[in-house]
Amino acid sequence: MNPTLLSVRDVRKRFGAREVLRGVSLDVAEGEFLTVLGESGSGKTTLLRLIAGFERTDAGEIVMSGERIEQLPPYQRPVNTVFQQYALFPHMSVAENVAYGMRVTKVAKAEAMDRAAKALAQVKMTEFADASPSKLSGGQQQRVALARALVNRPKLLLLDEPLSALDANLRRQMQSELKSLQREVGISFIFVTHDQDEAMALSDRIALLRDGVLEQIASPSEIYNRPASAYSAGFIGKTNLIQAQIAQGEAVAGSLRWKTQQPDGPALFSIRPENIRPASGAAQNGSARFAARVQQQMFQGATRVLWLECQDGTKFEARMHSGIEVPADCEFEFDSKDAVLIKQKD
Amino acid sequence: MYSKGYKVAVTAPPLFWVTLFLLFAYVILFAHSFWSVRDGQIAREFTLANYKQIATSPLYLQVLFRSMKIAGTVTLLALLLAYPVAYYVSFQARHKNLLYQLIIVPLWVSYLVRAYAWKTILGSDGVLNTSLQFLHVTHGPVSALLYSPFAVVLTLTHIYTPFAFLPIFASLEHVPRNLVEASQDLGAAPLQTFRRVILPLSLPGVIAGATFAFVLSLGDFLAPLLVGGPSGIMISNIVVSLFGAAYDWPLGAAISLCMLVLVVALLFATERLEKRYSYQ
Repeated sequence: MNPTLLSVRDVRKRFGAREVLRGVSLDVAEGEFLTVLGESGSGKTTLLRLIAGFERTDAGEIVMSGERIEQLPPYQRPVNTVFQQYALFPHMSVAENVAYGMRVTKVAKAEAMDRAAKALAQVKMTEFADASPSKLSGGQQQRVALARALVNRPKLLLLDEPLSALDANLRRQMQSELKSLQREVGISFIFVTHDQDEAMALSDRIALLRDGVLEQIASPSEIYNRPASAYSAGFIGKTNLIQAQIAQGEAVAGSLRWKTQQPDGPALFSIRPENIRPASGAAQNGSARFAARVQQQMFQGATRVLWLECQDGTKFEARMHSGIEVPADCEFEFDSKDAVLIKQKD
Repeated sequence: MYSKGYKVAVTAPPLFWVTLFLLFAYVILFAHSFWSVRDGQIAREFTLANYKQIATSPLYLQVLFRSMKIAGTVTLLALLLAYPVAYYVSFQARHKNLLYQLIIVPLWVSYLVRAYAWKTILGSDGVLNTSLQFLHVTHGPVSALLYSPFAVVLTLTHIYTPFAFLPIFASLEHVPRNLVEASQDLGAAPLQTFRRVILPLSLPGVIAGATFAFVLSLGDFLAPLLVGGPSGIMISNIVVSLFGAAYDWPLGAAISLCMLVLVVALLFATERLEKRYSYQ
């Protein structure tokens, strides 16, 4: 992994009686795309505003390239922000907006306009250089906002739900553009969103925030396959949470039984819907089988979601290829290794 | 939907009111400005003599010029006072509503009371002169304080600063705060943010405030009457005397119409300016 660019150490922030951040620590590596994911009110935007300098920390440190920055005003921090509502200056042209950061830091006008033109070319907005921001669509304003931030060559770019105002199709397109732009410029991104699909699609790592505390920080595949908590498992993708009792290498939950390496005692398991399939052939040693009735199905194009209910009342959600036909009463199975143990915090 | 009868019934009274007391009044004024006074009677024959007199008499032009100078000074002072206060209340203050109310409160006090207050402060045995003598800064009262253009400017500035404050405050409140943050984020120090973002975006309010202060001071006649003295006379005082003791309604009407045209032209110009600088 690349060297650490930014360290957030035990940062706390209170607004009145509400403690929005209750001791958050995380590191961002150089060139990393880190997503801060959380529900509204989880403190993710506050964390971003503390790093940008729009709010001051109550406690804790923010260290960037070895220097403490948590007391610096925003205009002295080597970071730039892309705002949720783009925040383009309405009284300036697109090119003037992009050149703004260089103009206020005394870069000569000719050089500033030259670099602004290059930045606009990078986001394919050259033809709008002289336009007023109000004449642009949401996606175009977004590109200008990106160019305006990146042209200053910050070490770290902060993005506050920048895609949330766009419609679904444009959003997907901007996601892939954003990702390739990030690879191209090699700048670290901290991307705040409440959209788990967006987080999975874009990030090198996801920091999942819940009520002002970091729930888990890991790569998308790790957080999906090895969720650290029931909350992680439920927030990132759909899952079936099963409370089981482990005894002598076997987990038991109602009529379900499967092999496990875990020590004896009660335990919570997560089984992803796509890991459940109709049973076929003879029972394998490494899998668990159960009979269930299909309560409801939903066709979703490539896949189909099934809501299953076992005889003892246990409910499952299963997702499979939509070509697979399933009778109303059927036997299902999953591999023991796909039942992931979850640490119980709450 | 409302019936036609209802609409007529609702709009007729105010329309009648405006027609009678505004439109009709202006028509009378307009007619008078082309008449003249002969042997103490108003002669209803068309003449351009009144306008010719305004254009050629140094007295009227001089007073008009002085009125504009006073109104201009008041405008400048009102802006210089109102803008920093509005900025503070909008961007810095903790008790925004309380401060806002405090600034608005003088508007509820009668104009006359406020003008008289300055008479008490600035007079020969007023608060200011007695204090200055008590502190031995001056020996004997300074009579130049009261009954001078200075006194008029001071009084009018006091009275019309809230009118400049209101639109400036409103426009500052409308400056999106994320633009201020974006400016800081891009490396602009507070003063640069103010000069490059906040000030340009609050210009419509400044223009509206300046218009209020200028137009209201230009047409003011009470302040010069109370604290102006002979050297502080403004154009409205002349109109008042022409309609009163001097009994020259036609000339008074002509001056009034000139002022009206001047003010309306100014309002048109500032409205266009305001539109040019607003980004909604």
